[in-house]
Amino acid sequence: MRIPLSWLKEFVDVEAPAGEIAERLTFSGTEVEDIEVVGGGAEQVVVAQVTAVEPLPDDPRLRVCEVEAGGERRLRVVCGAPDVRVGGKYFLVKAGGRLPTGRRIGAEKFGGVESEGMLCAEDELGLSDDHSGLLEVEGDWAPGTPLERVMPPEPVLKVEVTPNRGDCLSVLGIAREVSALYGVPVRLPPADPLAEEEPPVTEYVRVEIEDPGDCPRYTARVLLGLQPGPSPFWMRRRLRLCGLRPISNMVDVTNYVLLECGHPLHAFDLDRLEGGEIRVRRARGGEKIVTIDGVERELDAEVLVIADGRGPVAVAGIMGGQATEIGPETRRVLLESAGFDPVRIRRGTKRLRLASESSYRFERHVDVARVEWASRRAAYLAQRVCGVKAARGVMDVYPRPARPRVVSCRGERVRQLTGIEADDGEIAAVFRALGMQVTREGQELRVTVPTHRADVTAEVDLVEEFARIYGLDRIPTHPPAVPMVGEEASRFDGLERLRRALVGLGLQEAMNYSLVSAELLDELDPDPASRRVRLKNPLSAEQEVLRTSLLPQMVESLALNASRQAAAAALFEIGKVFRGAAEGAVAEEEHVAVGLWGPVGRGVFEQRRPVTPEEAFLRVKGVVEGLLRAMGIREWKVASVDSPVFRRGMGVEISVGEERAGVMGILRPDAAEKRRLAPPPALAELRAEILLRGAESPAAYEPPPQYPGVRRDISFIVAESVKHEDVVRVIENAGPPELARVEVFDIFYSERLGRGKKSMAYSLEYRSRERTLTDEEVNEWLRAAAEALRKELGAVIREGPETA
Amino acid sequence: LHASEHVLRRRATGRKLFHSVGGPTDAGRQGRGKSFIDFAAVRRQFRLHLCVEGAWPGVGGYMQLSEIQAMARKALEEAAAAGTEAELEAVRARYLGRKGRIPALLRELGKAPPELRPQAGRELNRLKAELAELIRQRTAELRRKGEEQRFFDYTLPGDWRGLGTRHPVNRVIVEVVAIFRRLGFAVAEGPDVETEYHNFDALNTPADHPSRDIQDTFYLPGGGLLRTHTSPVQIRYMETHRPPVRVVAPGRCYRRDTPDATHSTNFHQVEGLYVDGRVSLSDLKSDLAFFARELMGAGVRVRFRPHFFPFTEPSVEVDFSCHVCGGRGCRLCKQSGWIEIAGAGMVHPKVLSAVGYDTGKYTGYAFGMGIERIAMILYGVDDIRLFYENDRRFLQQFGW
Repeated sequence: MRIPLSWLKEFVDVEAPAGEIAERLTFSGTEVEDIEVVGGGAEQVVVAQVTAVEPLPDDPRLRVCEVEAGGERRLRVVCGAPDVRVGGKYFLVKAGGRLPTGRRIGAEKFGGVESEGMLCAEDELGLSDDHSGLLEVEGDWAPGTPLERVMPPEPVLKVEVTPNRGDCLSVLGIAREVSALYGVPVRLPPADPLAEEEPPVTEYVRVEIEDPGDCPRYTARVLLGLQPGPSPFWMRRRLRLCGLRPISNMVDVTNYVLLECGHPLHAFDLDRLEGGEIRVRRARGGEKIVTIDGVERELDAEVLVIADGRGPVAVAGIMGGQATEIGPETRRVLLESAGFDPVRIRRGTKRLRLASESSYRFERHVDVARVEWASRRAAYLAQRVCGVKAARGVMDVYPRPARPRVVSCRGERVRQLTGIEADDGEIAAVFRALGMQVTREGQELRVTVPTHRADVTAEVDLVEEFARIYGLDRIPTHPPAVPMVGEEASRFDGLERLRRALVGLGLQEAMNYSLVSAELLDELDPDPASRRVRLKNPLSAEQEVLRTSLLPQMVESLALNASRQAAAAALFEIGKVFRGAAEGAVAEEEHVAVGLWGPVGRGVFEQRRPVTPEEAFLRVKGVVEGLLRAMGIREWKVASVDSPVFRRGMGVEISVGEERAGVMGILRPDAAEKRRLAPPPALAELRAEILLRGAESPAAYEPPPQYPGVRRDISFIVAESVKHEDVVRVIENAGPPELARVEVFDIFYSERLGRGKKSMAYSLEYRSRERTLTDEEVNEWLRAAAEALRKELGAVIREGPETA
Repeated sequence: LHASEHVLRRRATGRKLFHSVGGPTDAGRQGRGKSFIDFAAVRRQFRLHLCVEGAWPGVGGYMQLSEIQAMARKALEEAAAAGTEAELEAVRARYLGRKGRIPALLRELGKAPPELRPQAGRELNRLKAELAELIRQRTAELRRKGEEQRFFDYTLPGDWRGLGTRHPVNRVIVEVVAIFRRLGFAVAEGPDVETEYHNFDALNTPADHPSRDIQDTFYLPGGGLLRTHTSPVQIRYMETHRPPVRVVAPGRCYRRDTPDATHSTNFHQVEGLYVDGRVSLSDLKSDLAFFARELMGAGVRVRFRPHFFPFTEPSVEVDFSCHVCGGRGCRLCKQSGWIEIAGAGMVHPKVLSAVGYDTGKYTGYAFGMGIERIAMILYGVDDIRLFYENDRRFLQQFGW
C-alpha cells in the first residue's frame, strides 16, 4: 500500500522526516519497504503563462505560443495541444531542461520556428498517462515559479500491512499508528456540514438485508444533481500517488475515501436501479452479472450480491456491475457504504477468482461502526467536487450495533511475557496512545478497545500492543541460561553419522526434491504405481508424485553432471521416500542412495582405463560394504534380484538378518544410453533404518592375537558359474576353527583354462589363540581345503598343498 | 654370530636392521652422517687382529703377516673408494671371488706354520667377512645414491581417494541444531505428510486463512497435506511431552510456489520451541542473540520487528546485523545493515490450550527459520535451485 506523506500529515502533526517515520512504523509492526520520492529530478520546469497564440503557417496542427516564464524576455514555444489558450498557466520545460520522467528537452525546430521549450501534459510530468491536453496550473502561482515549489517532490511510503491489521489499510489507519508512536492526536478529515434537501432518502430507496451474518450493516445515501467530469487535480494526483487511475469525479470520490479511511464505497446510478430497491442477499444458482471490468460472471450461493428489483447489480464488497455504474448521463447517485463478513467476501473472491481494492479490505475487516461516517465523508467530498446535494438523511440498516470490546490485562503478565520492567502506568499510557480507554480494577487494567481494532480480543493481544509500541529494542537480553540439557537425538545423529561415513568414503552429498514426475518413476522405480501418492493439486507434471525411491533422481543427477562434461561422479543422497498405506495414510521412510559413474575410486594414473560393469558393480558394493561396516553391521547377505532398474544379472538385494536392507546394481543399459551415461552407472539404495539399528549395537572388544598366523595361497580352476560365496563356504566348512581368514586375490579367464572356466586364487590365514601353529598341521588343513574344493566344486588345483 | 643376533634383535624390537648393523664398523658408524664407514676404526681393528709375529707361505712363497695386513688395508680402502657398482664388483672379484686372493690364501693355509695357522685362519676369515659386509653396504649405498639422484617431480597430484563433500543445506541444519543443543535444546522431528489439524487448526490458523489455499498448500488424496512449515512438530511434541519443553525441529517443508530463484516447492526449516513457567520475549531475544553470534560471528546483533503469525502473540520478525559489512550497509543486506533471518514470538495461548497446557501456568516462545535462506546468505548463493541441481561443481565448494 502506498501512503503519500503529505496526506498522512493532514491527520497527524509530525515534523519528523519520512525516513524516521518509516523506521518507527517498521519497528512497530507496519513494515515500510521503501520510500519512493515522486516528482523529483526536474530541471528548468516552471510555471508559464501564455500571452499569445498563433497558428504555425507550415503546419496547421501546431501553434506558436509566446509565454511569460519569469525570465527577462518572453519565450517562443511551439505547442501541439489543441486546448492551449491565451492567459492559461501551464508548466513549461525550457530547452535544455529535464522532465521529472528523466526526459531531456532540447531546442527543436518546427516548420522553421525554433521552440524554446515545451508546454507539458500530465504524462510528460510523470503524473499520469494522460496526454489529452495540457495540465493547467491551479492556484495563484507567478510565472517562473519552479515545478518543485508548486508540486514539491512527494515522498510516498510503501507499506506492507500484515493480514491481521485491516485497520491499517488506509492513510488514516497509518496516521493512527503514527499518532500512537509520536504521542500526537489524530485529526479526522471533515464530514460536515452536509448540504441536504427534501425529500428524505426513504423516498428514494428501500434496503433489505437477507442475513445480517453476511452483512451486518448497510447504509445508503442519495446524491442529486451530479455533473460528471474529471475530479480536481489534487484528487487525481493523490489517487495516482496511491497507484489508482482517476476515472470521473464521483467514482474518484469513492476511491479517495477508500484510500483515506479504508472504507470501500460504491456509487450506483440510482436511475438504473430497478424499483429503488436494494437487497443484500446470496446469489442464486444461474444468476449472472457483468462486472465493471466488462466480464460476465456466473454466480452461486457462495457469492453475496447487491440486487435491485430485477437481479444482482453488484458483487457485494468485491465489484460493481456494469449496468448500474456511474456514466456521463448519471445525475442521481445511490452511495453505498456497508460492512460485510470477511469470510463471505473471501469465499466470493475465491469462487469468482476476482479481487479488488475493496475486497482486499473487506477480507481483512472494515470497521462496521464507522460505515455511516465514511458515507458522510464521501458525500461531503462529493458536494465539493461534483456539485451534488444530498437527499436528507441516510438509510442505515444496522440490526446489531457493534459495541467496543473490553479486554482485561494484568500488568504482571505484560512484564512476565515481555521481560520488560514497565509499571502499570507506563503500560496504560501505551494503550491510551492507541486510542484505548483504560480503567483500573484491582490488579487488572480494563481496556476498552476501539471498534477498528478487531484483532485485539485477548490479553496477549494487548501484550503485543504494548511491546510493539513501547519498543522491542527495549526488551532486555541476558546471558543465555541453559535450563536443561537436551536429550540425545538418535535418528538425527544417526543420519549425520551416515552422512559423515559416506563423505569419508569419498562421495558427494546431493539433494533432490521430494516431488517427482510419474513418468520418471514409471521408468526407474520397480514399485507398483498403485503404491504411489499423487498430489491432489500438483503444480506441474514434473512434480506430481511423492517419490517412492531415491534412485530415479540419482540417475538424473548423474546424467546432469555427465551432460556438463564431468568425467565421473560419486554422489549420495539421504532422504525420505513415501508410499501409500492403508486408508489414505502415507508411510515415510528414510533412504540412502548411492550413485557412481565413471572412473571413481581409482588412482590418478588409472583414470583413462575403461570402466567395466564388473568394476563398477564392485565399486558400489565396496561403498555399501564400507557403509555397513561403518554403521556397525557385520553380517549381511546379497542375492540376485530381478529389477527393471538394473541390468540383468547385475542387480542384487541386500539383506541384514531377515530384513530387506536395500538393493544395488548396474543401471539398465537403455536407461543409461538414453541419458548418455556411458558406461552405465552403479547404484545402491538402502533403508537408513536398518543402518541406524546397526549403529546402536556396541562394538565388542576382542584382544589382538598373540600368536603369529600362517598364510597359505591356493589357486584353482573352476567353472565360470562358481561364485566366490560358494568357494568361501566350502573352504570354511572344510577348515578347522583355526581358519581365521579367506581372501580372494586373483581371478582370471584365459583360452588356456578352457571355455567356461576361470582361475581363482585365495589367501588363507590360520591362527590359534593358544599356540604357534606348525607347518605340518597347516599343510594338512590346506590339503583338506583343496580336497573339498575338488569334491564340491570340481576344482582343479593349480597351486596349493602339493606345490607349497 | 652377528647376523643371527641382529635378526633376533630385529624381531624382538621391530626396529630396522639398518640401525643394528654391528661388527667392527658399528662403532665408527655411530654419530656419522652419510657414510657409515669409519675407516680409521676399520684400520684400528685390523691392526689389532693382524698384529701377530711371523709369516706363512703365500701364493708362490711365504707371505708375511705384515703383507696380509697391508693387503687387508688395501682391500678395504679399495672397497671404500669404489665409485660405481662395477668398480665394487671388481674389488669383490679380486679379493673374494673364486680366484680371488683371500680364498687363495685360505687354500694355502695348510702350508703355514702350525702355530700361526689358527690365528691366521681366523684373521683371514674375519677379513673376508668384513670385506663382504663392506661391499654389501657400499653396493646398497651406491644404489640408493643412484636412486636419489634420479629427478623426482614432487608437483604431481597426490594420489589418495579424497573425502567427499557435504550438502550445504545439511551443513547448515547440523550447525544450527548444534548451536541450539549447546543451549540445552533437544531434537524433535515430525512427518512430512501432516494432518490439517497439526499443520493449521492446532496452530490457531483460521479456516479461511490464505495459507490453507489449494493455491499454496499441496494436498494429498487421503486428506493429508505436505506440511507447509515445521511448526506442526511443536504440536506433536507438546502432545506427547509435559513442560518444560525445549526442542529444535529441523525438517523439510513444502509450498505450492512456482519455482524461481528464491522459491522452491520444498525447502527446509528449523523450528524452535521453549515452554516453561516464566518464558518471556527477553528469553527469546537472549537465546537468538547467542545463536546469532555463534552462527555468524561475535559482532552480530539481533533486533526484533513486530509481525503477525497466527500461532504466536506477540509475533516478531528477527533480523541479524549483516555479518559482511558489520551493519554499515552492503550489497548482501541491500544497504540496510540488517538481514531477516527468522519469524518468532510467544506461543499463542490458543496453541497451548490445543495441546492441553495450562495457559495460566505456562508461557513459551517459538521461532522458525528457513535453512536455504541462511545457506544463501552464508555462502552468497543467489539461486535456491542450485541446491537441488546436484552439479558437482557446485557441491564440491562446500567441503566436509
